[in-house]
Amino acid sequence: MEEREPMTDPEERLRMALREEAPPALDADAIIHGARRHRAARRLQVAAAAAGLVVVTGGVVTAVNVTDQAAQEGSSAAAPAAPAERRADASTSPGSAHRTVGPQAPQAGRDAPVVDGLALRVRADGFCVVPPAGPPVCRTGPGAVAAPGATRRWVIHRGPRATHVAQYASGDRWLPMTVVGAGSPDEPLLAYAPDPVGDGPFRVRQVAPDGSVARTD
Amino acid sequence: MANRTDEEFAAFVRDHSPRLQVIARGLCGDPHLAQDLAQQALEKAYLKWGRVRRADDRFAYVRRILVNVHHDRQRRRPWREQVTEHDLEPHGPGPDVPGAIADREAVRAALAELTPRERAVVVLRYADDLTEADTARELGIAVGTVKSACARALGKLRAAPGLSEVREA
Repeated sequence: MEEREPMTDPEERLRMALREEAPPALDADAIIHGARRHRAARRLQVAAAAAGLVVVTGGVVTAVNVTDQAAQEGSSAAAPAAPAERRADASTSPGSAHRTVGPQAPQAGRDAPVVDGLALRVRADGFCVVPPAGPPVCRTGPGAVAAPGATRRWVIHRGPRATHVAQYASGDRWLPMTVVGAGSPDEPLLAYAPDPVGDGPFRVRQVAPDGSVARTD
Repeated sequence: MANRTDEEFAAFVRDHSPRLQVIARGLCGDPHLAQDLAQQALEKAYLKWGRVRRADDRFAYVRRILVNVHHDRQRRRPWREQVTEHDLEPHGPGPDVPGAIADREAVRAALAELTPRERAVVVLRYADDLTEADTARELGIAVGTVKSACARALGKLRAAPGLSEVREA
């Protein structure tokens, strides 16, 4: 036979329950690496804001939804400026920090250009999906972190500025950033730097297709 | 200098990250999120290690960062909080017995029903044995608030159905 006794000493039970067997120590090297990378990303984002860019770091764009019009016409950031503003939705999910989606917008029915050998095929419905891989954290904007499986959607206006290439430098070496969307006057250009190199301070600039520097910080 | 910082920091992580994870676990109720919280707090600590080094109590300094990280996360993403998922596996080998595990789980389930402030007060008071004054300082609230939150929390815990002991008569 069982009888239930009310708990009379919650303090002691709390102590015992809260002082559980301690988990193993965390990996200090990984924390140091993460801290440095986070600091570099923040500095780059600050520098990029001065150049009219919103920089996405540490994740990978895994799906791009091209509207019907854009899918029919195709839209490529590498091509001359698009005649009219087109819209596309982009979402992100966890991905490798070392993989990036190419700056060109995908074209329905064709393989989209890729960077780092990452295949990106546009489906008939206008979505192109990149298999997620890598660490389960994806920063999708200044300070914003998406959890695994979370979807953040941007409405990206593809306009003439999508033809520009964003670059950043820590020191004398200019490094490319991937442009995943181009802003209207109301929306900043969205660029993607998965794993900023260097510790800052950073400079950011946009380069037009003819090689001229359109804007720098 | 960087090497010295890294060495000091690595030693700190080795010595204190388990305890930070335990506190984080008490705060958020989820072992995986607790690991993330501890890691975020330690990242922040690394970036301001000069200040941490000068602190009278380095662990207390980083613990406060941890509490703030937890609060920030709750403020920004309250809809994300998931504190009811129980981890039935104890961390690491230990002299635990099934009864003790069940007891711990019952306490955790009851903790999950507390408000974030009550939980934070209880965790700091009972997991880390802070005084009421230290708890108040850590959370940036008045000592009276700590006392009332603690009393409320203990009242709820006493009334929690899972915390009635079952004994053979």
